[in-house]
Amino acid sequence: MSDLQISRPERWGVPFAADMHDDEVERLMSISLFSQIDQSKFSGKIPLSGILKNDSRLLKCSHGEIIVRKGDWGNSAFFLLSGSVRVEIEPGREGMPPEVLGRAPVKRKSFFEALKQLWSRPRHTEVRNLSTYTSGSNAGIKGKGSDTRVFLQDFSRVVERYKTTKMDAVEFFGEQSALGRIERTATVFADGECELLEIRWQGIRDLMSRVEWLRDRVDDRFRAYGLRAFLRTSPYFEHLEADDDATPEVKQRLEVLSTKVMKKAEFKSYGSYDKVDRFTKLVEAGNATDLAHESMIAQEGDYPYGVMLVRSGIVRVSHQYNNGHKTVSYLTPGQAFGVDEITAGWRDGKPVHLQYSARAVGYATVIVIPTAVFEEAVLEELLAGGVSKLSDPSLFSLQHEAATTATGEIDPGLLEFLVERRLVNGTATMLIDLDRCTRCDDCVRACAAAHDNSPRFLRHGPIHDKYMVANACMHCADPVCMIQCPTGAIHRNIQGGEVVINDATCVGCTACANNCPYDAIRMVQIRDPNGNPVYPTHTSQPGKMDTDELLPIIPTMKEWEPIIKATKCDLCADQNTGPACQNACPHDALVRLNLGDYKTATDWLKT
Amino acid sequence: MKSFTQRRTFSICVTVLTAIIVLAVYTIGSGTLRQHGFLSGWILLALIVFLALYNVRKALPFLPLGSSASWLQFHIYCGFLTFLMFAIHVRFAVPNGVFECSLALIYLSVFLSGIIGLYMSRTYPRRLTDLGNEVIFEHIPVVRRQLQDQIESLLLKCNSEAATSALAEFYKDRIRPFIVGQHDVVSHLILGSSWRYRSLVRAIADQNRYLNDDERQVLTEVESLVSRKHQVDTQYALQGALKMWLFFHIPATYALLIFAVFHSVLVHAWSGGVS
Repeated sequence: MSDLQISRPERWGVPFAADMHDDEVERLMSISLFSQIDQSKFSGKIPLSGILKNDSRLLKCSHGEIIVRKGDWGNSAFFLLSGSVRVEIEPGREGMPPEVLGRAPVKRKSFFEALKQLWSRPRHTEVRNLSTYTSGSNAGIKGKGSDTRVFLQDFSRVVERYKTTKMDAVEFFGEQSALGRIERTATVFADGECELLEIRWQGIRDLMSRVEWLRDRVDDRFRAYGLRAFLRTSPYFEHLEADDDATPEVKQRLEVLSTKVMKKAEFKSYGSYDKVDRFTKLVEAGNATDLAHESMIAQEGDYPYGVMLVRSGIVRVSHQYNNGHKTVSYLTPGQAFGVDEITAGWRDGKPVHLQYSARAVGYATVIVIPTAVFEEAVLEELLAGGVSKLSDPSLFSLQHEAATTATGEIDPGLLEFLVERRLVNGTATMLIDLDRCTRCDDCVRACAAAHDNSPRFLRHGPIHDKYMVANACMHCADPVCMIQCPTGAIHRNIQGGEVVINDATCVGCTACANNCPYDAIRMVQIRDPNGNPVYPTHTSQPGKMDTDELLPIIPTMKEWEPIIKATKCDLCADQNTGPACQNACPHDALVRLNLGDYKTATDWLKT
Repeated sequence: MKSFTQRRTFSICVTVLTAIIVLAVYTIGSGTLRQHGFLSGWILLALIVFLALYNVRKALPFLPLGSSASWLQFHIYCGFLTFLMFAIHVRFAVPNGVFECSLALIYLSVFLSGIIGLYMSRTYPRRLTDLGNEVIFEHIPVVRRQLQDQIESLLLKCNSEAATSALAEFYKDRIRPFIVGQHDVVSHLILGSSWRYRSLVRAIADQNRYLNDDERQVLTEVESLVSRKHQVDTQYALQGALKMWLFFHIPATYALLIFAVFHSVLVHAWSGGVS
C-alpha cells in the first residue's frame, strides 16, 4: 500500500464558481437552450442542474470586454445567453495587435539599448518603472484578483479597423480549445452588455455525451475547422491536398479520399485533464514508475485499430520488459502511433499486432484514422502515385525500432526520468550537464544582468545521473500555467512562441504559479527604484459618523499588502543574444533544449 | 553536432600547428630580425589583453559578442600559445633584473593558475556529481547548522532517556569539533576525504562497545549525519576551490597587465631609437 494518502476526490468537490446559487440554476433551466434538453438522459449522479451549478458560472460582460483572446489557453466554453459578442474573423497577420488585447509586444533591444543595461540596472531586485503601469496600453483592466477582466478602450476603432463578425444569443464558442487543450484561435469580445454561461470542460464533456445536437455541432465544427487544419500539417496526409496544376480527376479523387478521412476520423482524449500536479506527488512518493496511473491508448499485442495521431499532450511508447515496462520513445503533437504495424500488415497481407504500448502521460488527445481508411487514403494512394515517400524510413518503417536504437545511445533511465516527470513537455528545458558545470553561477549572473538584476531561475532542480533540470520555465508545449490567467497576462509571444508574462497586466492572482507543476513561476513583491515595496492605491471610502463628520479612511487588509507579480524565465525574448544563461555558460554545460524534438535531445545528450 | 572530443582534437591540432609556425618563423627570423624582442613582446601583450578581455565579455552577457564557451576555448588555447611567445620573448632564458624577474614571475603565476583552474574545472565537477546530494555553495553553512541541530536533538533525546553520559561526552570531545565548521580543505581537494573524518569513524566504532542498545542505535543515526557532514565538507572544498581560484587568477592578470604596460614603456624609452 502506498504511503501517499489523499482524501477521495469527488466529481464536484470543487465547484467552478462558489457563487452559483440554486435560483440562478433554476433560471438557466427555464431558458429554451436547457429546457429543451431531455433530462432523462442524465444520470442521478450527474443531473443537468448539477452540471449547471457545479461546472459553470455566469458572466456579465460590459461593452468592449474581452472574453477570450487568440493565443490564450482555456479550459472552458461559453454559451451566449443574452446580448451579442464580436469574433475576430481573420486573426492572422492583419489581426489585432498584442497591445490592443492587453499584451505587451516583445521588442528586441537595439545594441545601444542592450549596452545601456550596464549602467541603468537598478541596485535592488524586482524594481519596476511604475509609470509603465499607467500608460501605453490600448487595453484597460477592471476588477481585482481572479475576477479581473480586460476590455477594449477604443471599441469603435477596433471594430472599424479589424474584421469581426457579430454573434448573437443563443450561440456557443471556445469548446474546441477547451476539449482539445489547444490555444484559442480567435478573440471574442462583448458588443454591448451581454450575459454568458461559462462551462468548464468537464461539464461540456458530460453535456456532449447526453445532448445529441450539441455533440453533433461540436463534432461538425471540429471536422470542418480543427481536423482539416491538423491533417494538412501531417506528413501522412499532406498529399490529399491537390496541387493547383492537378487534373480535375485527381482533384476529385483526392477530395473523395479527404472527405472519407474527415468523416471516419475519431477524436479521443485520454488521461486526467486538470490534475497536473498529481504526477509531482507520484514522483515524490516514488510511485511514478508504475505506469498504471497513465491512461492506455493502445496496448502492445493488440491489433491496431487505426493510426493514432497525437493532437495534444505527450504519449509514452513502451514495451513489456520482464515485469515492467520499458520506455523506448515518446510522441509529441503531430507524431503518429501504429503506422509501422499497419504498413507492415498492408505490405505482407496479414495483420501485424502492435509492437509497443502507447499511454497518455498526463493528458493527451489523439485523432484515430481507422486502419482501412489509412490503407486506402495513404498507403494505396501513395503506392498508386509512385510517391517516394512510401519508402521514407522515418515515416513508414518501424520508427519505434529506430527510436529504440537511438535510446541505446542515451541512458534508458534518463529517458524514463524525462518522461515520468513530464519534462519532455518543455520546448526550452534548461538542462545542465553536472560533469561539465563548474557551479560558477555565470548563468545566474547573466540572467540577472539581462533582467534588471533579478534572476529568473534557480540553478537547482531534479537530477538524474549527471543531468540536472533546473527550475526554469521550460516554455511547455502544453502550458498549463496559461489556463485560468484572468487577464491573459501570461501568453505566448507571437514572434518566438516563448511563454511570457506581461508585467503591466499581471494582477498577482498566483493562478499561473499554482498551476505550474515544475515550480518555474515565482511571485515577487515589486519595488520602487529606492527598493521599497509598492502598495496599491487605497480605494476605501471614508465612513461617516452620526454627525455626518467623515471618519479617517481605513484601508482594507488587502490594501496593506504589497503588490505582487508573477515572474519567470522569458528566454530573453527581448535580448539580441538569445537565452543569456546558455550564452554565458563557459563550459557548454547548460543548454535550452526542445525535449519534444527527440532527435535534437538525443544529439545533445550523446555529445 | 560536433562532440566535445572532436572539438578538443581540432583545437589542439590548430594550436600545435600555430606553435610550429611561430617556432619556425622565430628560428628562421632570429638570424635576420635583430630586434625580434619587440615583435614577440607586442604579440605577447596583445594576446594577454585579448585573454583579459574575456572577463569583460563575462560582464556583458546581454551583448551579441559570441558565446562565453567560444571565448573560453580561445582563452584556453591562446593561453597556451602565450607560454610559447613568452619563452621566445625571454629567449628561453631566465630574465635578468628585478623588474623583469617580477614580470616573468607574475606571468608564470597567471599561466600556472590558469592551468590549475583548467584542471579543476575539468575534474572537480565530475567529483561533485559523483558525491551526490549536492547543496548550493551559499547554502552550505545552513545545511551544516541543520546537521548540527539534528545531531544535538538526537543526543539530547537519548541523554534524557539513558542513564549514562557516554554519548554526551563523546559528542563534546569528538563529534562537535568535527561538526562545527570546515576542516582539512586540502585533504578534501586531493584525497576527497579527511583524516579527521576517518579518525572519527574509527572512534565511533570503538565507542559502540561502551553503549547500550538504544544508545548504539542513536549513534548509528549520528554516524550517518556525520557522514553527510563529511560529504558537505567535500562539496564545500571542491565548490570553493572552483570559485576561489579566479580570485587569484584575475587580480594577477590585472597586475600582469600593469607590469607589462610599464615594461613596454620602459623598453621603448630606453630602446635608443630602435623601432
